[in-house]
Amino acid sequence: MSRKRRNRSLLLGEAIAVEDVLAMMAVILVLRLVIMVPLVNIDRAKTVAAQADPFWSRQAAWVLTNGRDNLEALEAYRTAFSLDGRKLSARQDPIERKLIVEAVDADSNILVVEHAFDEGRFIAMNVQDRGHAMSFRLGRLLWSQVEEEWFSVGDSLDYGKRPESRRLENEFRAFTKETRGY
Amino acid sequence: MSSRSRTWILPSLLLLILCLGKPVHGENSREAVNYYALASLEDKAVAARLAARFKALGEPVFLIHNPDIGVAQGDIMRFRDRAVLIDADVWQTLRTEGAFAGITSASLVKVQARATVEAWKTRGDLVKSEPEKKAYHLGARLIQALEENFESLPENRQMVVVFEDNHLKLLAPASLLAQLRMRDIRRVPPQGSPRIVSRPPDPAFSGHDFFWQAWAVDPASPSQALTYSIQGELPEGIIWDKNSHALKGTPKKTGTWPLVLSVRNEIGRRDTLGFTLMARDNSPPRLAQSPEFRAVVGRPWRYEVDIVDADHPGYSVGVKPLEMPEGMQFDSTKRIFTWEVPRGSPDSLQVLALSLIDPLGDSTLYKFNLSVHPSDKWILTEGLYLQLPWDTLRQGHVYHWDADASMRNWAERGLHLEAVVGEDSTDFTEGILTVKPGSTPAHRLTFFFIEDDKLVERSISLDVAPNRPPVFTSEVGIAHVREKEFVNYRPVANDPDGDSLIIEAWLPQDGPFNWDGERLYLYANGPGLYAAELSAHDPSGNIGRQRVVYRVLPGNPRYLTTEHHWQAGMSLLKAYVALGQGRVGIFVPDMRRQIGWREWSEQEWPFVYFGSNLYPPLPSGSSRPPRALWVDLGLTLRVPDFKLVTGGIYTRVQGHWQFPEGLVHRVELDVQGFVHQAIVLADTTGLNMDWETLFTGDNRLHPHIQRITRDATAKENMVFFSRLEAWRSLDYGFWAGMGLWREDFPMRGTFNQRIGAGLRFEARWAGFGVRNSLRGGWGPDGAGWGLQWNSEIDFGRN
Repeated sequence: MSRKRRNRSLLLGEAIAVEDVLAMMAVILVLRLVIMVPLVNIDRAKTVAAQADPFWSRQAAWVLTNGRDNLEALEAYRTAFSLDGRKLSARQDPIERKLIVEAVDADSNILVVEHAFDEGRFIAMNVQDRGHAMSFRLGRLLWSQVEEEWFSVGDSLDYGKRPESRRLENEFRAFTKETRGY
Repeated sequence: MSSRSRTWILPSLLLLILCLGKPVHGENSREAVNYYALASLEDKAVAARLAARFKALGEPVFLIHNPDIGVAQGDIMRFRDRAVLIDADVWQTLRTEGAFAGITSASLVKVQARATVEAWKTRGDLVKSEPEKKAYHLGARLIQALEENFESLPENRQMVVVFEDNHLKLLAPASLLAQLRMRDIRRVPPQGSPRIVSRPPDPAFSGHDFFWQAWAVDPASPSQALTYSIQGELPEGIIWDKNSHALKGTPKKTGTWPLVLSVRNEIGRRDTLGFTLMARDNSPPRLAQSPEFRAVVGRPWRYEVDIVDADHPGYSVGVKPLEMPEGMQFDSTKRIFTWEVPRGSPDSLQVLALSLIDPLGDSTLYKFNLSVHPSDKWILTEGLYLQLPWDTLRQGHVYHWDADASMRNWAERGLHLEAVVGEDSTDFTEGILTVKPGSTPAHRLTFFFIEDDKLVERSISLDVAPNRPPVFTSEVGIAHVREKEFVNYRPVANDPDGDSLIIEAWLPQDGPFNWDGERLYLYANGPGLYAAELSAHDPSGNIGRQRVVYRVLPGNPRYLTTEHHWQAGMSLLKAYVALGQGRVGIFVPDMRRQIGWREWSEQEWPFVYFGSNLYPPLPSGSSRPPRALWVDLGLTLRVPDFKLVTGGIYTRVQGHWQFPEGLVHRVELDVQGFVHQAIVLADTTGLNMDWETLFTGDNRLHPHIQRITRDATAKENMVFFSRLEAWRSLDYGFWAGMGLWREDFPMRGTFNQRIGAGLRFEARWAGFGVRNSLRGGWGPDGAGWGLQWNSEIDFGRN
């Protein structure tokens, strides 16, 4: 090999090698195969802006401030509504014979459960932190003597269309306004 | 819903979630595996608008991480070409577009309880929904299986079991599996035969889809190796699907069809289940009682819907309100209509219309006119309506009613229940009414109330239906078995009133039956007719009976026979073992050319032959005399050189027919023949010769071929012996007979035909028998006089 040719190869050393180009193409191809479906949230499709409701922020703050880590009265509901790790508050309505449970988890997701003893039914209202996505779980609670806890049967989901769901939300808002001022 | 989204939904129908140990959290769970639900949109227009907003193709499917709260932030909305993470804005968009009104989830049953058998059983008994009840009992059995067979229960771990596309998928953390001590589960003891575990099918309904899958297990055989078959005429519209071993279709008419299900394993052992398939018309649901037709302004009105349906449990019947007065509420869970009668509508008529829909879609429409009265015109006892939770009582059954709620309701209206009196065993203590009607057709109850210090009584008469005896719904499938064959029968009895049953068996002393409380086993050492009686008892003392009769046939004969035949200077020797309808043996036509008398390369070997009796075996006690028609075919091969294979063929048709009466007691036919050898195969590759040199030239095969040709042209190389004889039995084991026989020697182109007579002596004792026959005869055309002698010795013949 002559000296002249060696110099030429030194000049080419600044450019990208063919092997590197092929390797990069292979990586891109693999990534394309692996991630076939891109998430489009990045490019913000035509979405509607979330409507934050300050009421739920206040409610979360109230339970996180005044709630307890454990309530003996709610032991029997722990499994049915996944109450572990949440701040809890509960009150009874002796006239209507109802138990109202309020719970908030570390992500400020809110759970409100109404258990009507006489009718054996329950409504659980779930409100997520940001955007306050809301859903309702309706069903009946039965008592398991062996486990000494309530368990749900015949669950159904609702996103706020059923009158029972709307009633619970309205009554809960009225209660907090009257007793807590928000 | 698009077909694509359906393919996403269907597997979730088959998803069984086992939550063992602590409750499972949906949000970013620390658990190794988790469960999800899928949902889609009913409204196509909304789906199209969402696709446009998100610049995507197809309809969205929602992947929901917590089925308890439904679609929420953090879930995924997946289109055909892209997926969207649901954040607050996306959720608000869904709400704005009205998507939540039309989200439909697959029917997913999710049950959960502490990981103890008792907890799951208790919950299973408490719930009324049939899918939930089944799921709880399934969970109880799974836990029981883990406890009893794996000596462990996984804690704080999740396991997901999916049945999809004929596959079982199991997803479990390795640490969970490490906890389990693996053992074989042996619910059915291995006994060489399969066992049907299916119960007979429930009645089918004409005009409605029916499906019943038969299932059997055999620990020694994989399930796929079992062969199912059904015997009997099927109702029109119902077919037997062999692949899924299921009865399915839509019966077109009503009736009963007796059927027998058989299952065989790889070695031919079987189990059977006899049952009667019933098809009937579906009866529509109806209300047990009507509502109170009078409503009082300002007073609560209440109607609890009780449903009577002869074909379905009441809880499976749907209630759909069609028309209600203003202000009336319907609790679909408890099926209660409640109404606070408004003050603005006195002296008016209001309409309540509802329909009952059973699981098969048959419905009944009810319409009631409710008259509204002002409160000042109302007399308390006039409005009293005794509403009990029962429509018709069943004789002998015990009923309890907690009257607490009704007593409080009456008390609000100024009525105080003091006592309840009734016929037979009626008890009213601490607000609990207990009734056990002992007689038909009615049970009268009288309620005593105190109203304004006056005693008021109201009576109600409840219909009492007679308690019906249990009925056996199964039948013995195969009533004919062979001796020493092991069979069993699982009786199934149903009580028309749903009572629990005890099945008992009456067995003959020292008989071949055994009863283990569930199955009747038969192992008969000898042929005969064996009977047992089964009885099903309900708590009321009613008894249903079933007689089980087995006819045991003689077992397949197994014996060893040697037969020596001497004729035309040839000595033919046979030895065979008969196994039922088949036999296998060896045949030596010429001892000189057989074992040990020649060089190895010229050594010939006995024929090996197989035979079959074309007549089926006779049943025990049959008046038909014995008969047989054996057809044998045999083969022998030898390899004088590795490039040469030669051999022979042997064939025989041998029959006999016995006649107890008449002049002739036995007719015998015997046609047998053999070819010693012929060139079967010669490999000439590499020998460098043609066909001419193969037989005449100088090559390595030539000496062998020469010997084969020499042997093949010998007179005894191809021989046929035929005989047709009639015999008559004499005293002391002697027989006399006469007949025709013929000898054919095709290699010499000659044959002999003779007519003659013979004498036979037979003796048998202790399973050992001999038979010697000597025949002599004369024939024309050079045949002349001839003798033949036949000797048979057998061992183990019955």
